[in-house]
Formats: sequence, C-alpha cells, structure tokens
Amino acid sequence: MASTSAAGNHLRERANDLRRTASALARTSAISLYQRSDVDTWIGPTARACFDDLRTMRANLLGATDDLRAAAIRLEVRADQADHEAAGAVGAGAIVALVR
Amino acid sequence: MAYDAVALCRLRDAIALASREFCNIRCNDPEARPALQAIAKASGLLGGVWAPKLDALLGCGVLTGYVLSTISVHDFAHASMYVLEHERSWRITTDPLSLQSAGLTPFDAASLAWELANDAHRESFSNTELDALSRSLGGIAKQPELVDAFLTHMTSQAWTQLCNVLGEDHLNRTRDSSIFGPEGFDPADIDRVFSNLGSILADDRRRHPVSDAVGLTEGMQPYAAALLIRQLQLPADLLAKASYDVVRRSFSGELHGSRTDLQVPNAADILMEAMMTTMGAPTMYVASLADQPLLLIVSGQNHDLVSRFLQAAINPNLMPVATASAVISTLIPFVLANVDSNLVWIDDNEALATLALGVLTPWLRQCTYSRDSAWTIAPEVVTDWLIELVQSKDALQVLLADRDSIIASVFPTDPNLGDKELRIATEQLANVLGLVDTLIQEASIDAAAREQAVWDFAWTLLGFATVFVDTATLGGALALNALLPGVQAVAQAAGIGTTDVDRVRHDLVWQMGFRRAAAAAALVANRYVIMVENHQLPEGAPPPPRPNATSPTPVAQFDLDFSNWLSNPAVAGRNGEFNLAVTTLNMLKQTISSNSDSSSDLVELAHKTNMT
Repeated sequence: MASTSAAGNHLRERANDLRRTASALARTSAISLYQRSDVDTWIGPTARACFDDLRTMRANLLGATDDLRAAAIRLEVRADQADHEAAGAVGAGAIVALVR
Repeated sequence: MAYDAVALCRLRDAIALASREFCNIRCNDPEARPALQAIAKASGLLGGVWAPKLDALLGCGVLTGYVLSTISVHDFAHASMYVLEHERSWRITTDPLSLQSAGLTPFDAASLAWELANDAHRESFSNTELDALSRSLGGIAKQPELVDAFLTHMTSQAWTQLCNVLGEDHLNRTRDSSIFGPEGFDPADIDRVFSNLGSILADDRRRHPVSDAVGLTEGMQPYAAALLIRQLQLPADLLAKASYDVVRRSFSGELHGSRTDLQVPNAADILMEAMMTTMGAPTMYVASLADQPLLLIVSGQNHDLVSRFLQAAINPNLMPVATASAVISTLIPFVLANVDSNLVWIDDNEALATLALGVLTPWLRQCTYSRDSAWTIAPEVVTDWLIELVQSKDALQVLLADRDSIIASVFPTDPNLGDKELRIATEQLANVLGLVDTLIQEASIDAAAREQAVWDFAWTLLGFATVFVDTATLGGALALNALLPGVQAVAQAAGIGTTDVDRVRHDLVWQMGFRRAAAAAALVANRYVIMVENHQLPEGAPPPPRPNATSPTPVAQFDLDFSNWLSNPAVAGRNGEFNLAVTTLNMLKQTISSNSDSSSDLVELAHKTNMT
C-alpha cells in the first residue's frame, strides 16, 4: 500500500470539499428551474424574459460545477506529487543510515 | 401576458426553494471562489428579481404594472390570449414588457385559426376587427412556419364560415359605398383580408403543390368563393377551372337569381375581372363553356365587362381556330335568337348585338380566301349573321369604328410578302369588299349618315389595300393612317373625291363599282411610279388611265381605257419585254375592280335613260 504524506492528505481533503460543493450545486433545483417557466406556465414578454434568465443561470451554474470539479482534480494531482516527494525523502534517509 | 395561476405559484415556490438551497452551499476553499460568485449571482437573480416579480404578478395590482384583463372574442390581435383564457382558464394581464414584444409565434397563428374556426355565430366584422385580422393574417403570410401552424387549425368548415361572413360584409359594403360613398363602408378593408388569406394559401401551395386551395371554396357562397379565388395567385388553367366551377354552381339550383347573383359585380364579374389579368385564362374559361352561351353571356351583370372579356377570350392570337369556330357557332346564334327578346340583357339589346359583332369581326379572315381548314362555319353563314347584327345601330358603329382590327384580321402583317402572298392579300380584300357590298345591299340602311359611314368603311379598306400592296412589296412597314390621306389625294386628283350623302343614297351598287374602279386606279398609279423607278416599265411609259366621274359609263370606260393602256407598246414594250409588269398591274386592277363591275354601269346607264 502506497504511503501518503500530510501535505498530500491536506490537498485531498480540499479536493473532496470542492467535489462535495460541486455535487451540491448540481443537485439544486435551480438547475432545472427553467422547465417550470415554459409556455405551459405562462406566455408573454415577461415570461419569455424569465425563461431566458433561468436558462442563462442554469448554464452559469453548470459551468461553476465543472470549475469546482476541475479544481478538485488539480488538487488531487498535487496531492499525489506531495506523497511522492515525501516517499523519496524517506528512502534517501534510510540509505544514508545504512551507509553509516 | 397570460399565465396559469397554479403553475406560476409552483414556479414562485421553486424559486424560493432554490434560493434557500443556495444558502446551504458553503465552501471556504479559495479554488471555489468563482463558483461561489456564480451562485451569489444566481441567488440575486432569483431572490432579487424574479421572486418579487412573481409575487407582484400573482398579487396583480396597478402599481406593480400587472393588471388583470379580459380578452374579447373579437380581439383578433390577441387571439392566442383569448384561447388560453377561455380554453385553459388562464389569467390575462397587461405586461410591462409588452413594448418589447416579439413578432407572431406559431402558437399565435394556431390560436387565431382556432378562434376563427370557433366563431360560428358571427354575422359581420367591425373596421377595428378587420384591421386587426388583416394585420395578423399579413404577419402569418410572411413566415412559412406560421402559415403551417395557421392552416393546421383552419378547417375547411372554418374557411367556409369565415369567407361567407366576409363575403356578405363585402356585398353590403359594396352596395352601401355606392350609395353613401366609401367612408366607413369601404369594401377594400375586406379585400385586404381576402388578399392576406389568399397569400397564406398561395404560400402553402408553393411549398406543397398538392394542396387544394381551390377545394376550400366548394362549400362557400359563390360571391365569397370568387373573392377568395381571385387572391389565390392561380395559374391560368386552374383559375379558369375554378371560375368555371363557381359560375356553374351559382347558376344552378337555389342560388340562381339570388341577391348576390343580380348585383354588380356578382361572382362571375369578379372572376372575369381576375381572369382578364391572367394571360390565357379567359380563353380557357370560354372554351370550357363553348356549349353554354347562356352562361357566357348571362352570368356576369356588368355588360361592358362581359363584352371585353369575351372579346379578349375569343381572340385569334390566343384561341385555336377550331375552338373559336365551336364557340362562335353557338354564341352568335344565341345572341341573334335573343337580341329582340329583352330577356338576356334587359333593355340592353344594342350592347348584346355589339358584343356579338365584337366577337365575330376579328375572325372575318375565315370568310376569305385563306380560310383555316379547322374553321367550320360557312362564309355565307357569317355574312347572314353580319347582316342581322348591323341592323343594330350601335353594332354598326362598332363595325365601322373597328376598322383597324378588321383590317388586321384580314390582311397578313408581314411586310416582306412575295407575289403569291400579294395576290392572296388582294383577293382577301376583294372578298371583304364583296361582304361590304352584301351588307350595303341587304342591310336596308336607310339613314343617310349611316350610308355615308358604310361607304367610309369600304373606302378605308380600299385605301388600306393600296397602301398594303405597295408597302408590302417595298418591304417597308408604313403607318396606315399616315398614308391614307395620300391615297385619297391620288383618287381626288383623278376627280374621285368623296361624294355627298344624296349621291351616295342614289345608287349604292353603282357607287361601289365606281369607287372600286377609283381604288384600282390609285393602286395601279402608285405601282406604276415604283415600276418606272425600278425599270420594270420603260422610261416614258404613259401614266395609267383614271375613271372619269362625268362619263355616263365611268367603270366600263375605265376598263376599256385600262386595256388599251396595257396593250400600248410604250407600256408593254415593242417585243413584250415588260409583259411581267403588265401582268402584275392587270392582276391588281382586276382583283379590285373586275370587268364584271362595269356591267353595273350599263344598268345604271339604263336606269338613267329610263328616268330621263
């Protein structure tokens, strides 16, 4: 089993937090709100404006979830690098001790 | 604006729920900052903009900009709102954003059709309604998707219902505007609606050629059907067929003799006017009614229009000879059988005879030498018809006034004619002159002025022949009217001036012979000048003789003088080297004024001798 470092664990916790936020955002009823504002509910210039606003809002929110997940992936990559660097440092210390 | 109150409440609740959900999303990570800004913006949109608007709308107060309204069944500009209000129980409000309103939607178009289809009890339209209807239909006609949506919900029954009401309104407005003036009663308001309806159907037919727009008119009153058909932009054959069906329908069964039938214009008048603007349609229509002269003449109430229509239809340039022969052979006898009955065109028999003559005269060529084999009417029959028709004073005037078209129908128009065509044309002229002879002798023309008019007519033909023969041979297309005075001048110089009315009345037959001799002399004189210039006759050849009006037998004397002139060696050449020219001149003279005409001279001389 690969060893983890404290720095790596911290980064992973942050990534998980971002993923949770993205999931929560994607589950909000705001994402599908536009469907309640179509021509089965109302028609007219105001109705059309509302529908357009809600569609735009949905696109922005989905974009935000994608951004959060992308940030989480970046943090996880950095966590793996931190673990790797930490493992390298431990291995080098053991060789020095054997030589002595 | 229209809304379903229950659904709108659900939307408002969903917005409130979404706002609360946003509040529960927390994340302190700096990487989440852009996402949290997007959430904040969305939260502001829901909680700060739309939640308050929906609350105001559902509260409906004047100060909020939303006021509950009711749409009238007659409000065609908001037909879709009416449908929603009455069919789905939606609420209707004024909309603060209405100034930014977009154009018609397919739903609007479908709703208008639905409303028209469910407007069964309507009896008329106000000007405001017509204006709104016209604008909505005009907007629909411009966009194919709107046309499709409109037609999907517009049943054939709806078309019948709508057009019948519009047609009845049009009828009343036409009548009222003729009495009170167009203000407030202008039928053009309804024509605009029909025009837009026609554009919608025409657009549909262009995109879907199998669409049967004409079939929609089958259940309509003929008058309404005519108003719609004329706006359908149909090709000639379909327009003629549709017109035929409507006219047949209007003149069969209970519709015949109805109020719409007897007014001016009626359905047939409207359709004839429409066909007049579509090349070929009148000819096809008349051909389809060849065996029904009653319908051709009686269906329209505008007699002048019917005359113009039939003359345009039975046109030698458009109608095949066989078809014209069939139409004329039923039409003219029908007119002659009814011209005195006062039953066909009440108190307008002169116009009826004029119509028949206008139809017949363009076909006079078929009474001449170059008759088409497809023409089945004997020349004597045509002559008999003409004799009967010119008993009508107006018809005679038409005959006399229509010289140019008669001449055009008799003579070929190609100016580059050879000797054979020249001979044929001259023979045709002789035939027509014979026809005029017969008319003069048998038509019992008793008024001096009319006698003079007939003589003028004959004189025109003679003059044209002179001009025609010369210009055709020379290859020049010269104007008839410009040359006629010159021809008459030649004749007058020879002492053949126009005689007075008393003299004309004296002896018609003799006068005709004399005038023919004069025309032949003028014709030969003109040819003589040309032939000398072209060296077809010898230089120094004496000029041809001219008839002498003071001679007791001027035509016989002219014949004799002419024969002597032709045999003169100074004309024919000592060895007959100019015989070809001599033969041509003799042919021209003989065709116009044959030797047999001189026999009338002898009769005249005997007559005078007896009188003295």
